[in-house]
Amino acid sequence: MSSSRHNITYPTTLVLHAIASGVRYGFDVADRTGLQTGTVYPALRRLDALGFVRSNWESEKTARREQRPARRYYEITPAGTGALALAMKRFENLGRLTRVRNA
Amino acid sequence: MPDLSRAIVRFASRLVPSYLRRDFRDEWEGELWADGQRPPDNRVRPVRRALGAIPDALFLASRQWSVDMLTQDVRYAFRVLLQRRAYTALVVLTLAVGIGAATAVFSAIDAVLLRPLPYRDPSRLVQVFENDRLNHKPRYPVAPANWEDWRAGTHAFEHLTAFSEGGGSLSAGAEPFHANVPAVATDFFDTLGVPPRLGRTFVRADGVPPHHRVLVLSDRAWRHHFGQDPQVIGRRVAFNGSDYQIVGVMPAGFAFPTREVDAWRPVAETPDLSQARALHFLAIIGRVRQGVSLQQAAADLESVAVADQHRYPATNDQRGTTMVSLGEAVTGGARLPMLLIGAAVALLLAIGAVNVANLTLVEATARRREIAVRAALGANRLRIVRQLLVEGLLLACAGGLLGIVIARVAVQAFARIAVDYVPRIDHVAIDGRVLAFAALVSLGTGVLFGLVPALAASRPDVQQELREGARGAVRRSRGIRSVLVIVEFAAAVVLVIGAGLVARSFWNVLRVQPGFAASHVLTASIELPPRYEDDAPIVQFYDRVMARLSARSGVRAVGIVNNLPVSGNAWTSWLTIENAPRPAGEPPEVGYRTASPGYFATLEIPVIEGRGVSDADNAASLKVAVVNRALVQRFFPNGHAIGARIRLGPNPKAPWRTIVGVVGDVHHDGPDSPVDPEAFLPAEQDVNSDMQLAVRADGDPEALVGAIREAVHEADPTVTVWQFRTMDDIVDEHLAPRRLAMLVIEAFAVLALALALVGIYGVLSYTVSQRVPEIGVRMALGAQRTEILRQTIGDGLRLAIPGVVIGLAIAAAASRLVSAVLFGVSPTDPLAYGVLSAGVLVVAALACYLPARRASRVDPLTAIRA
Repeated sequence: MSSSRHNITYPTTLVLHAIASGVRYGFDVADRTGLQTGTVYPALRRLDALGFVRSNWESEKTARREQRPARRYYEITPAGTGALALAMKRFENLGRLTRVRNA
Repeated sequence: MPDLSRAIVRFASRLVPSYLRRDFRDEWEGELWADGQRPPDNRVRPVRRALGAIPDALFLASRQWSVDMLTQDVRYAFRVLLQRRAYTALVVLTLAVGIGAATAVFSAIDAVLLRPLPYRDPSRLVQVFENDRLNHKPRYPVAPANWEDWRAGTHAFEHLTAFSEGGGSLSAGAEPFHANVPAVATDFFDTLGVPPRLGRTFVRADGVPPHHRVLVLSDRAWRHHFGQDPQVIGRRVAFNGSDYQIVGVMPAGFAFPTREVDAWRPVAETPDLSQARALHFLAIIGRVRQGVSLQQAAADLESVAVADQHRYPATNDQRGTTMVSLGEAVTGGARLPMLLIGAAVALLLAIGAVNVANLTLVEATARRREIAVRAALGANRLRIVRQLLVEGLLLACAGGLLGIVIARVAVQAFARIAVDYVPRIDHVAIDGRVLAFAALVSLGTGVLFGLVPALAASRPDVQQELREGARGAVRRSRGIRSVLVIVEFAAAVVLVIGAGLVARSFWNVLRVQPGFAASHVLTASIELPPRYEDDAPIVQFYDRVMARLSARSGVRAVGIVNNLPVSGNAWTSWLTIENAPRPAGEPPEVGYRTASPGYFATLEIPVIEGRGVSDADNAASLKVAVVNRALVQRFFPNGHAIGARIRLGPNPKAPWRTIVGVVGDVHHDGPDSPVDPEAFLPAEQDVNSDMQLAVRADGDPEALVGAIREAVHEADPTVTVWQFRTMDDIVDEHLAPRRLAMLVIEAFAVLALALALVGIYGVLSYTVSQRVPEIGVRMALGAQRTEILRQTIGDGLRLAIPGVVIGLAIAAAASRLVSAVLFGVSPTDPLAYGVLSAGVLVVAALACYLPARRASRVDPLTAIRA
């Protein structure tokens, strides 16, 4: 699925950017971007479906050791990196990503 | 983790497709737990966070409806339907026939009844008749003087215009042709509110002689006879030998009062005409004023008519008015039959759809394992319902498309046959409205028969289903389906019996001896120009034509008559018998025709007593008459009519005529009408300028068309001869409406029966598939195959027989409704009822045979193990 065919929206770009900068969990993405969880999760689902991020469950063992449920984490894919670069370029003119980049 | 947050996630997870549900819940609970571990000051309100689960869940749910998923459903549906070819074909065909019939009937109803008349503000147009209460004729033509009084005395009408149908020979340079040219009042076009396409319509001054010799052409005549010449305005033509000028051309689609109108001319408003109160020949069209109700207008009109009753008792005694909307006047008789057919077709379609639902239910039962597997693999209920719905819609679309094709063919065929008998049917078309109707019906039936079984089949008990293919489920609906089959059979029997009675009537009509021999006779109409005023030249002209024709080889006999039998034209007159009081209660009216000596021989009407018309009966000789047997039977109880003297018409000074012969009875109004008393006068003693010619040929009568043209042309080249028809054609044309009605009702009967058969087949197939294990057990215990076969067919007939009985009862009760169209057969004819209901049961048994054979071939071993 080539990235050029899918123009992603501004909030989705924010989410992808957060993941690219190493944020792993959904709620942390919400913290980082300042978006509502109700916006972050659908964005993550969409990015997942596009192949821009991949998700995985942390190991049961770790979770059990820490006596908490396992959490799902997200990572950017190579396709996602390309798509992010394209989207950043598209939104650059607006100068709106600076806040996130500096965060 | 706070309970509220957890509850929100739980709730949201229900919206999520089941195969994603577990992950969804785990992810949200994991995040919420992690959130709870943070230092309190850094914590965002957890409930607000949890609320995000709802949009997330909705997003995941909506992905089920993505284009990709739907395409998948459609592809899967295609595969399933192609695998089940017999089922698919049966369903598509049933739907196509149902939707096709509904669409065809809708397009006809739309053209004839629904679409407004093509005139300005047609709801305010009315037609007005005289209501002759004395003779019980509520829709009698109007006398000119009465019309004048209505026009002057009423206030409710914007216009009250008049026309009378008529025609004559029109010559536009080439060969003269017969043209239908009604004479209309000068405000005729203003009343209808349609502007001309070229030139002008009539103005007031056009009605005053000698300025009345102007014509407005119809689109039809402009096309066929004037080559659509845009320069036609101002052109001079000869109409009935007089010089007329064309002043206008009407647009296509304006054809009033008949489809075949060629032109309109103004009524010459002479003082004589406006005095005529006993001459009834006008049709009156009114436009009711804005703000005046139709009731008020009718009352206004009636009050003027009542005043005339007192002022002119001799002519206007008990003469009132009848006012109907123009729409009703135009479509009148077609309304009720059309609506009845519409109701019948709606019923057929509904039965067809439910029938298909039946079949689908049977299919769904067969597919329960598949559905259970899909449910076990995580398909939620919505997804399964959607899948079945997609299949339903796909079938409905296929049925709809095929149905539109069927409708198109049917409508074109119907319009071609019915054009002369159903008003406005020539406007019928499969247009946007009709296509929208077909699409709506298709979607409606698709959803109906897709959704119901889908809901029933999508709630399988997965475990039990997978374990053993449960036996008892979905049995609730069986009772309903049995009732449905019974209803179908009742409806089918009613229609089949109706069709049988109508067909039998048609057969009876065909067997009636009409009193004349139609075969080998060619007829034509002759129209003399107006300069033939005196009797002598008219007689001379016809003598010459008949002499020339008789001399031709291949001509056996020639005659002329004013009105041919079955042609729809007939004159009547008052009969007075010398020295005999009129029998009490008998109507004094008898039919009368004028005929030449050869007429009886040409049509082979037998002379029973005395003689027919002879060559010696001319203007100078004794006035004579020939009467038919019915007249003798009714007015001469002793049977002796020859030598008696009669007088025709109300004029007491008219000469007495001596009866010189009695001829056989002729069904002049068609074989399905009774014979009326009738008198024939010698053509030379009662001269008419326009006569109809009948020629009996040795061989093919159509070969004589040229001979007749030549003979007329040689006698006088300015005379118009037209309307060449064989006598067989005339009879055929008369029978056409009856044949049409027969075809329509037979089509419906066949449809209804087919639906009933599909219905019983479906239900029985279902029952058999349900009972396979039971049948297996019974066969294992020694039941014979023939026994199973017999029993299964018996099961089917147990549904068909009550249906047939109910249908017989309904048919007997409703038969009075159709008695008017029956001929020579009782509406409760036991033979028709017996034979046809037995026939229905036989085909029902055949429809049961297929599932029954399947039942009898059940292999006990596999059946029990399954």
